[in-house]
Amino acid sequence: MMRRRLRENGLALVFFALFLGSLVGQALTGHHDFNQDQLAHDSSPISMWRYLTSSAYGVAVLENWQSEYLQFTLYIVATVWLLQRGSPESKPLDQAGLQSDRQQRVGRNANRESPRWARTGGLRTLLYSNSLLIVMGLLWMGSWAAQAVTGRVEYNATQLEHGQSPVPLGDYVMSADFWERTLQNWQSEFLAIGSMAILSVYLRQRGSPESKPVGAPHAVTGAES
Amino acid sequence: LPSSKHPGRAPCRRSATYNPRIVTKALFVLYLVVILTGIVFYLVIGGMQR
Repeated sequence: MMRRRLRENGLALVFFALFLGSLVGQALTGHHDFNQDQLAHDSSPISMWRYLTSSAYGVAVLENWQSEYLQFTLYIVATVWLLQRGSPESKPLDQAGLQSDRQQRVGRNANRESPRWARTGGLRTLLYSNSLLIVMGLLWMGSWAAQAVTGRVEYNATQLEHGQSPVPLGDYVMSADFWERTLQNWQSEFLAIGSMAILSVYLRQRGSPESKPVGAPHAVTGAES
Repeated sequence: LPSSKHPGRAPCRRSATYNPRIVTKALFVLYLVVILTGIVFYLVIGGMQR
């Protein structure tokens, strides 16, 4: 029974373990690097707990979180309307848009096994119909806000070290430091998404749902295969 | 009763509490709790100290 539970949740479990391992690795290496810098500046090294609760660690974690959640938020909403001929990431070319209630099995078209909020209609069905986008979008905005808050404290610490004045949050979110941290993460996410959409037209991975079947023609788009 | 899919084999004994979806639900909650905790923690604490 345990083995079955593990097997049925392999993706979420393995990626959570990889996340924790990487987060711990980032903490260990970041702490070491931070303390090297402290010593180089004739300052005292700090404890691991102090580092984990620092804005230096916070901004490093959250600038990556926000870009990942932005990536998925955009991908969720863009793939409603944007298509890519030949890509398994795209819907078939005649399916752009929100699709009919019948295709989406909402309201009267829902069946007994449909989630309750898909059946009820009205505001609840509207909310549930967009719940993945709403939650991913909120996580993106929350982590981006936390990046701004921690990034500002980190930026101001450097400003003070160099005898310059600290900046308020409103000024920091307009600063080059904030946007450099943001855009260096965004560019890689957008490139990865675009690469996946177009490389998967011609390349295959046998057995992966991210790929078309190996023998599917290049021109076949999305679920047509 | 013997399982109809596997004649001769004893049927699985299902515990009354066994729910294969409970781990999936727990993981759903775990992911949301971890990401929300991270965001709120650094919004509050990360803004206070370098």
